[in-house]
Amino acid sequence: MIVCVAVVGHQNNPLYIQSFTEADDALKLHHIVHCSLDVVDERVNNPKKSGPLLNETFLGLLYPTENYKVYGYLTNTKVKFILVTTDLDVKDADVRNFFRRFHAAYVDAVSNPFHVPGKKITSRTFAERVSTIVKAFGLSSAG
Amino acid sequence: MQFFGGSDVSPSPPAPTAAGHNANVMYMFNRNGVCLFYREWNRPLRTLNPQQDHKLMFGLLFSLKSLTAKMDPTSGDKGNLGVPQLPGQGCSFHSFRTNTYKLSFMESPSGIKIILVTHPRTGDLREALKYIYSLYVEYVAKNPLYNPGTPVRCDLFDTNLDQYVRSIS
Amino acid sequence: MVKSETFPASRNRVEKVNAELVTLTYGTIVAQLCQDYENNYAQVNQQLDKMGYNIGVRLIEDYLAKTATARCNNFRETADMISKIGFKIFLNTTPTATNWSADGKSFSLILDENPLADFVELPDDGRAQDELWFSNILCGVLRGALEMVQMSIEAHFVSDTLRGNDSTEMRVTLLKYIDDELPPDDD
Repeated sequence: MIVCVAVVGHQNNPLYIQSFTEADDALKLHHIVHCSLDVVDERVNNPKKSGPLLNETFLGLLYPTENYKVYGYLTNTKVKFILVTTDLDVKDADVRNFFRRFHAAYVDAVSNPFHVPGKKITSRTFAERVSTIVKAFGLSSAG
Repeated sequence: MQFFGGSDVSPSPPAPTAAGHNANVMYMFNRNGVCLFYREWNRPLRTLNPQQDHKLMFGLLFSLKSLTAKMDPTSGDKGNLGVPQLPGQGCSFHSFRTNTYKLSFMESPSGIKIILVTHPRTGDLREALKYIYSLYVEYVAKNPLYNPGTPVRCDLFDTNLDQYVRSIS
Repeated sequence: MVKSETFPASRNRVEKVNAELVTLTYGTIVAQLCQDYENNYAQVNQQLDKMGYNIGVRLIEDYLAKTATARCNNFRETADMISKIGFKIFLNTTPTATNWSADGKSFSLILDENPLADFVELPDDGRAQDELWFSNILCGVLRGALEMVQMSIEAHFVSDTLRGNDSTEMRVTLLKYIDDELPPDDD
């Protein structure tokens, strides 16, 4: 189950963060997302030789904690998408698929002329779409 | 429509040459009677000042249009002579010929009138006028710097028009 | 006699432009207007209408040259032409002309899809939802274009899916036919 998704701008400014848990652990999740940004930076600045291609946007598993797995995705405009999940055996393909759809939703949201680039994403449609995608993630991994 | 007898009696202008200019004069009016464009390629005779000349031409078209509509035998619904018609409404003439020149006329529903005076032996120019209208649309109406209702001053239009008119035979 | 193959290239083919480019360009214009008028949406609507008018008086020439259609015999035919040809060639959508008034002088255009409004969400300031007509430029375009073919009309939006309505509907009312002007008197 996905517990948190976040969009972080290229100056590490948060653009959108949404948790999907019942418990009041938003602060903890925010902390996890925050920590993951350093990992993203490290991945980007020190690409492994055998690592992903330059234009690969999917960063893979950033780091696991005792309860969560954190995945990252970096667009070519240096916007980071972070996914925090509690699932233990997550298929890479599922995560990729999730990020692909999430990216599409993000692109549509920033295409709204009333959205100011670099400002937080307040769109309600975006929030709805994200929660649909998040729900679909649970289903596809269950099946 | 043939005015003043059918045959080409003298004085008649020299026969058109294959590559030469057959067009003499061109006018373009908008629906308010403003002369948007006037160009002459071959017009030795000049008796009127330009304003009078344009006014005369517009008046001629106006009268001729309502006259031809009045004489239309196919339609029972006619306005009175002299009462203005909406452009494109009812019947409309497209050319007349005299022994010395031929005048071709077209009017768009938006009221743009294009008049081309050519050698009397030129053929049907309705397509040509449509083409000139499309030139106007491309180079004048779509030019953001052109202010609708003012005389056309647009080099691209001029060159393309010149080029095209030269090809009319 | 006439070299018809020398028509300008753009006469014969349908020009294509990326729809998203149009959408984004238009959206940016509206957003900028909102900013310039400090979210005075009544003024933004008015400005959009004015811009549309200026487009309409030119666009009609393009429409006439492209379609070579004759004058419409009545207003119903005009409505048909607007939806089935005008919107089709310029926006590639076909709105439905419906809800005719009894005197045949006003109708509604229902835009099932509105290419101008893709991606758009109106600002969440509590007023835009009630005051801004995002696609108001279309009203101006119709007003300008029809004025050039001797029809004085009034057009306004009555509903917009962006505001949460079920449909996007524009009301068009014919005010009168404008008479052609007489040639200036000789004096």
